[in-house]
Amino acid sequence: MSVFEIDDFRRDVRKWLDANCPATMRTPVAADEFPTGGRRGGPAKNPDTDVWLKRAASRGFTVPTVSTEYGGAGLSAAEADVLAEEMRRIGARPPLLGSGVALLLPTLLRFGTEEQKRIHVPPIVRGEVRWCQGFSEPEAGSDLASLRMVAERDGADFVLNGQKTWTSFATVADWMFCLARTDTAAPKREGISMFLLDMDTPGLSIRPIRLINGDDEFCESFFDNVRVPAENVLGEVNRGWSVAKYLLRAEREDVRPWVEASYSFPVLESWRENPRSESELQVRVVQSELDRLGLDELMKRAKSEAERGDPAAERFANVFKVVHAEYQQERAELAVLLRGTDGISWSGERINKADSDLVRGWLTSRAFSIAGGSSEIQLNTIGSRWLGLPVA
Amino acid sequence: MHEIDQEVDEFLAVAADFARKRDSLGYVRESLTDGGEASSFDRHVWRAQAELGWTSIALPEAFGGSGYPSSVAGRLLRICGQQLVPEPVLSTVGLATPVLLMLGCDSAARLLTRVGTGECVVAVAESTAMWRTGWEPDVRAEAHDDVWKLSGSVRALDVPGADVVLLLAAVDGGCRWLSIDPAGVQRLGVVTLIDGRRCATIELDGFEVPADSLLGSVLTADAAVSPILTVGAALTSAWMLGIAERAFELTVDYLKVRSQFGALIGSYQALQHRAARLFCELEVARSVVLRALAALDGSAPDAALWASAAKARVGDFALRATSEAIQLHGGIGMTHEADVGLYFKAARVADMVAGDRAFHRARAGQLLGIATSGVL
Repeated sequence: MSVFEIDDFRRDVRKWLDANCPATMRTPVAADEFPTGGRRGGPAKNPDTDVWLKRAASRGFTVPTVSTEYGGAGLSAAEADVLAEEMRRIGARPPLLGSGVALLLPTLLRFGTEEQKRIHVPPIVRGEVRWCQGFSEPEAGSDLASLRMVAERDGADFVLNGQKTWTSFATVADWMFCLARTDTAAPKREGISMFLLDMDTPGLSIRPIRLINGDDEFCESFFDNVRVPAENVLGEVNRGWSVAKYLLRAEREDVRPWVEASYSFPVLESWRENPRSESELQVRVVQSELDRLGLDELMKRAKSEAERGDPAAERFANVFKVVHAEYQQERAELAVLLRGTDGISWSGERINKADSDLVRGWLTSRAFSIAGGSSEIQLNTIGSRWLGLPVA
Repeated sequence: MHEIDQEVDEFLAVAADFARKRDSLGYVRESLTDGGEASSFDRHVWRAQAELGWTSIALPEAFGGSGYPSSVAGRLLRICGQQLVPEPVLSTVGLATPVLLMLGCDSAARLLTRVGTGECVVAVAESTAMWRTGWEPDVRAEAHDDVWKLSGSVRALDVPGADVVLLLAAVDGGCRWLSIDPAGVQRLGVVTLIDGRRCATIELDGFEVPADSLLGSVLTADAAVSPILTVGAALTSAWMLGIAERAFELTVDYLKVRSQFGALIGSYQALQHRAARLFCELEVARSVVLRALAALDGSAPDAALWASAAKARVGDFALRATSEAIQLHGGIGMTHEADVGLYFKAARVADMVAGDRAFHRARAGQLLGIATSGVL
């Protein structure tokens, strides 16, 4: 594409964004205004969230590089960069987030049948169907491949029995992608398949789990003879582990928005409002700012090595996960500490929203070293894959 | 790739090869055993290094130098740190050269040219007191006709051995850098440091220097030490990064060959996780040091912040990585024969060069607008 065409495209995009991106969507995403789409959650708290999603989806801008045939905008990489730049310029929120668009969609495009793509991709792109992930089980957390949910073939269907846990947003999701064992005799990574199922399927029941931060978005899901048509297996039967690995890689690469959001622990701001004289605190605040700078540089190096196509750049995914969790947990800890009693207040009229969000964010930060592959799992991977240490 | 990048890569490849073949560790071990008053580096090797362009690497072409960006000197020092090269590359290229480049007077220019050719080893007198607010040099210089009379004393690494020592002296209205020939000093208290390097206390009471020994102009103490605290600290952090990298590499290698309880010790998760944590922190330290070096090239306004961020971080990390190296080697790590002990000691000495980690963390805090009173 020529420079002129790119310039034309930029002009178009700018004009379109000016006309279509609502003013309240040009601010950082509030924690309770995530644009997740779906039918069950009811209308968004801020109506502009739905307006922005609809308008962006109508242009395919929720998934700019996906082909128009599936509802994307069919943009080239260069055009997608322009769109991203123009959105950043006005501080536009992403119109759609969540595991459907971020995780399942790339996996569907890679492994799905034409029929599956035609059925499932457009509703994801339009934010009409919200997806949840049914991977972890009570006995299969970090050791996901030891999952025990069984799927038995019965005529045109598979029949699923077992239990899933940490199925985020299962109460508000419309569909679930989940892993189940289709060959119980095979070695543990070889008898797994991935299923796509409607949350309304009989036999599926959901129970929310309340967490230390007050959230109840994580759920337990119980499967009692849940029938899933065989055409809803994603990828080949018994080859679900490689499909899941592909999807999980997308999850780890998706760390950036999470990082940016969690940068907002207001350590420096709190310090400036109330600089305390204890030298221990001062040193921790300085170190925490230096850690933040270190994390930025680490991310830049990771990006530039990845862009050069260096396969060893993949080590940064493990390294970043460990370091990010540790540094951000310290920032969260410092931020609440500097707020004094406001930093330990849970509920009541006198608590302002910023403090309430901060306290919940601090509690959430404990999950940074657990969710998406715990720090210990990352260290295992670093030991075996990047340091070449012998296996036990 | 640009032509200059190719040249730099070739230069560094040759330097790395030379450093590997130098048997620095054997030399350092002997230095530690012998102690004594001799210099702790080999003048013939220094000349060979100069011929390879090491001593002129940070010099502009006008001084017979390479004209390369400053970061190349950092990359050379990283290589020297990896192999613990005993020649005073850190003193002369890492500290003295930035000071002389800042001063820019004729005497400094003459010294720089001689540094480039390898004729002249220049050391810099440092003291930990240098990094405090309101600091005044321990040495005073007073003009008497055509000579300056000095009083006080300083310490400098790589003395004996260095041909010239740069030191800061209090003069009327501020500070000035001056150069002395340590061979002319009556009393030289020499100690061998834990890493085998010599360090001398130079007693200057009654010592006289000619007027052209005073370099540059009268400066405030802050301005006078700034090349050490920014360029010097960034380059020293590259040297320390090299130390930490090599100690870590030796440790991972050892985990793969040592057996206990019928298994390679690297197969035990407790040890794997210790090593993997170091790997994570090493990547962060590398990122920050590389950024500090890049900031020197553009004389970026935040070069001082990045230099301090790098020196503080790699100071913490090099000490931790080398201590862990000893622990993971077990009893072997405590022996004089084990290489990791030399890296541990070199890291400890390097922390003291160009401002230690506590100082640089405090300085970074000030530059970030966090520090309150009483730190610096």
